[in-house]
Formats: sequence, structure tokens, C-alpha cells
Amino acid sequence: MDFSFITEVLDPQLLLYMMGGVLLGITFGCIPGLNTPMALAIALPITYSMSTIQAISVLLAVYCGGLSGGLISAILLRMPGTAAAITTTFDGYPMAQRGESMRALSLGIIASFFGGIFSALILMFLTPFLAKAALGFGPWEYFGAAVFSLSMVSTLIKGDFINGFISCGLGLLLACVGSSPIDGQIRFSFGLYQLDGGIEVVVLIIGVYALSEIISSAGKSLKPLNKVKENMSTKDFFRVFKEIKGQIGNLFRSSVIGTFIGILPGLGGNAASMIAYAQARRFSKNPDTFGEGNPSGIVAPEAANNSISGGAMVPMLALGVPGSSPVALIMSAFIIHGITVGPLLMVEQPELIQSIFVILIISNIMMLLFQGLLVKFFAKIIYVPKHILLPILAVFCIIGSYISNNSLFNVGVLIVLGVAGFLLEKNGFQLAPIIMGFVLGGLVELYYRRTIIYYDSITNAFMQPSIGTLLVVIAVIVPIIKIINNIPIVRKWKAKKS
Amino acid sequence: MGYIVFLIIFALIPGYVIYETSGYKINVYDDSGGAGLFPSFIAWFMLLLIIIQIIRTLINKEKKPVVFTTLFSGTSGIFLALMIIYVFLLRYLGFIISTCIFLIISSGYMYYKAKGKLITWRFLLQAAGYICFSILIFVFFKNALHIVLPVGNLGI
Repeated sequence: MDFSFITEVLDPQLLLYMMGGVLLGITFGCIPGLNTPMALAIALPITYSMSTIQAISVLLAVYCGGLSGGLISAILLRMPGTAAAITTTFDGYPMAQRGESMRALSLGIIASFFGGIFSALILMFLTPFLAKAALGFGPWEYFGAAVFSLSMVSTLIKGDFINGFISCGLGLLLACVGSSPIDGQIRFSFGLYQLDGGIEVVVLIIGVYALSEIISSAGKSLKPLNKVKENMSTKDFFRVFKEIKGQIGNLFRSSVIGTFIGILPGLGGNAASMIAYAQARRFSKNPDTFGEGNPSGIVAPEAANNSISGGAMVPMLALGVPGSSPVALIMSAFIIHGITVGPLLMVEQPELIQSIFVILIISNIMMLLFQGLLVKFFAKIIYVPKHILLPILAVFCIIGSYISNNSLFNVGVLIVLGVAGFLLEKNGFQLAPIIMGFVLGGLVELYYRRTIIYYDSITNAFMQPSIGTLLVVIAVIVPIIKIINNIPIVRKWKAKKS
Repeated sequence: MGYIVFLIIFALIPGYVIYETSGYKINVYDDSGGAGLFPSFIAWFMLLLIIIQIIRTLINKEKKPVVFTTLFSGTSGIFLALMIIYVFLLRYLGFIISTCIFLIISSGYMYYKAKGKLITWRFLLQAAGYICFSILIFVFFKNALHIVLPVGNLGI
């Protein structure tokens, strides 16, 4: 095997470019409203004059930085920049609130690093096999995976179970706004052409999750968001490495989930982080402490979210199918540099494939170092007085929703969703299921309809001995078990028994 | 009772969805149930859950207070009102001016509400900071990201 690609990847100039890329990605990931595709869109024109390997390195560095950067605002401010970071807020935010923001951030960063490295290493050896597995996924299997992810929402519901399902239903209905999949029928747009394309996911996340929290915080005291003063030093970050030893099983499990979900185009980090979170809770000795600042609740979604980075490369490199918008932007760099991605790339330029995985590993190391060094500065955000922080965050929310398609209409939708989110949360309805329902609703409907068209009926699809059938069966069983467990008589009987 | 009223109002959402989807036409070649199948299924499911929730509240005689007025009173209400005005002004005054106004007023109000006074030098310093912040953000988005944030009638 020719290892000359390693010398090329370790070129100091290239490493410098990659550092810039990682920093750009982290910055865009951590500012609510900005996101990884945006950072990649900025970086793409800069890479035109670079060599192929330099261009791809910079873009992959931006991608890795952006995937991980989202955890900062999710943990400190409960403002996930992407749907994938929502699960991180469940335990990250409560942990930061009780004065352990450094610990929460450090756990998230280290888990992200582990997930990224794991997927890169796995994919270095298994890309051809995983690509074959991805090819075997038809509409029924995708439907199974989407519906399975949706069923995981039931395991995340805390408090009133019925309200949790109602919230999820609301998210699913919001996902139906705009044109329907397959036939393009416009639904629930109230005659507003701006809604024909549906509600932007960024607007929904910022509105329901972030803006409602800003409005709620404005009504509380003027004290900083973090109630407890904590000592912050870079040493604290490295101390968390010891704690991570107890999370090895969780890290591996979540990284495998993330890598596998990553190779399936379209499902994305949100499904991966949610399944990983639900599994971490299932295997935990203290499942009741999830949602109150359990470290496993931060480690699982972050490891899964970042292991997407390697997984998402598989369909792109092996099949020429970009699974998400950031990957599509990276793929365009290949095209610009005259490289045709697809099955032949593996045969004709194996050294390029190897370089990509080495670049992914280096990018993740850089991400760990940068975030490790900067974490104490990030963590200080929550000590900014609220009368300064909240209005600035509100401005970022408005910018974020405006730039999603350069429309002030989106800003109006943001305010409506923010008010709705505030009212729902104050009246006992959880907000996370709304987002989860919204993100997965479109996928469930799309693949359901494709399945029917492909197999003629759902019964025919069900008769297929495939992983899709298995996932659908589990997806039906999981909520039923949760519902039965929540029936008062069963709860009383269980309490009596224990 | 308030909670039940809240749920009834909430039930209007799935109710509307069921009403609208009932009028959707299905293409003869489409075996998948058409555009209305998925939303109407979800809506019926939601409606069922809301009814269960109402019955449960009635049986248990639970007295759940409804939070509604909180949103429109106190600092939260003022902050929300300022945001709505800010969004309205964005179209006419543009990003820089409306953001400056929003930041200065909302921040000043929140500080005054908490401390009961405004320190002039601090207020002026913060106002200067907010003006710089608004201009910097606008310039950054325009020059670095090639995104023009709203420009008002004054051309800025």
C-alpha cells in the first residue's frame, strides 16, 4: 500500500488551513442561528484555488468543527443550533444550571471527539461493506428506521405521558405544513405562499426551543443564567477524561449507532442522537436521573452526532449520494476539482479515500484541542448579565430565522412559535417531542408513501423478511410498553411489587 | 376548568386538520392514501389523546392552573412586545437602526426593572456597545457571508 498520502496530509500549510476550518466550523456551530452548511458555503469559494486534498481537508475540518460546535450553545443556553443538538440540551442544560457547565461542556467535547475518531477508524476499513449495506436499504427499511426513531420519542417523555404524545403529534402536524411528499399537494398554508415550502426546521427549533426560553428567562430575576459560581480552568477539562472511563460502553454504543445511521442518506444526526440517548437511558443504572443532568445523557448524543461525520462520507464516496446538505457541499468540492465520486473512486483513487479518513481523524484531534483550550471562555457566556445576554440572543434568533431563506415572514413565524412554545411549556407540554416529531414526521410520511408505491400495500411490505419489518415491529412495541407502564393501575401494582 | 378550556382550544388544531384533509383529492394512480392520509391519522390520534386528557382531568378533579396571562404581563410581556415592535420596524428602519433601538430599550428596561434605577454612564456605554454590535453584525453578514440583513427605507 502506498502511504505517500500521509506526508501530503501532514503538510504544515495544510494543517494550518485545517485549523482555520475547524475554528470556522466551531464558531458557526456554537452561534444560534448559524450552522455548518453556512460555514461550508463560506469556505467553499476559498477552496477553489487550492489543491484537491487541501480543499477537501478544509471542508472536512469545517464540517467536524461545526458538528461539535453546536453543543456549546445547547449546553449553556438551551439553544441547539441544529436538531441533532436538541438531545444534548436534555442533560447538558440542567448540568450547566447547577454550576457544572465546564464538566458538561468537557463531557460533550470528549464524546464528540471519540465519536468522530471511532467512525473515521471504522470506515477506513469497512467502507465497501457499509456501502453495500446502505444499498440494501429500500423505502421499507428507511420507513422502519424513521418510525423506529420516532418511537424513541416515547422513551424520552418525562412527566405527563399523554401531553408528551400530544406534543409529538403537534410536531408531526407542523411537519405536514407545505407541499406533501410524492404528489406536492399544498397543505395547511392558509393561502400564504411563504408556507408552501413548509416551516423551516431552523425557525422551528429556534422558535419553540430557544425563543420560548428567552421569553421565559426575561420574566425571571436579572441574575446570570448559571446560579452557581464555578472555578474554570483548562485543567478541569482534562480531568473529565478520567470520568469518561466509566462511559466507554456508552461511547462505543452511541458511536456505532451514529456511524450506522450516518451511512443512511437522509436520516441524519437527529435520529442518531435520539436513538443513542434512548439507549443510554435504557442501559443506565439511574434512568430516572436522565433529564436532570446525567453525564451519560450528554455523552451519548454527542458521540452519536459526531460519528455521523464518518458515516455520512460512505454513501457519498461509495455511491455518489450526498446524505445531507453539508455532505452535498463537500461533494461539490470533489466535482469542482474534477473528481467523480462513486463506486469507481474506490478502485481508481484508493489513496484519496484513505486521505479522507486521516483528515477526519486530524480534524477531530484539532476540534478536541481547540475546544479543550477554549472551553473555559465559552463557559463564561452564562455569567453575562441577563439584561445584556437575552436581548443579544433574541437578535441572533431573529437573524438565524431571517437568513434561513432571506425572509421577514420567517421572523414572524419565529415569534408565533416562540409564544406557542412558551405557553405549551408553561402548561405542562414538553417541547422536545415537538421538534422530534417535526424532524422525523416528514421522513416517516415520505418513506411510508414510497413503501406503498413500491410494494402496493403495507401488508406486502410487512411480509418482507428485512430489517425494516423488524424495526417497525419494535417501533410499535416500544410505545405500547411505555403506555402500559404508565397506566395508573400498572404503576401502583409495580410500586407494590417493588 | 381553565386547563380544560386550554385543551379544547388546542383540539381546534387537529379538528382543523381533519376538516381540511377531508377535502383533499387522491390521484387515481396513487395507492398511498394521498396527501391527507398521514396528517388526518395524526390529527385523529391527537384528538383522541386530548379527549382522554379532558376525561382524566374531570375524573381526577385535578385543578391545573393555566398559564396564559403571565406571557402578557411583567418583564416577559414587555420583552415580547419589544420584540414584536422590533420585527415590525426591521422592514422600515432596517437591521442596524431597529436592532440598536431594540437592544438599548430592552436591555435598559430589564436593568431598570431589576435595579430600580439607571446609571447614566453605564447606560451610555452599553448603548455605544450595542450600536457597534449592530453595525459589526451587519457588515460581517454582508461582506463575509454575502447575506444582506434587512435594509430599511433609509438605505441602511
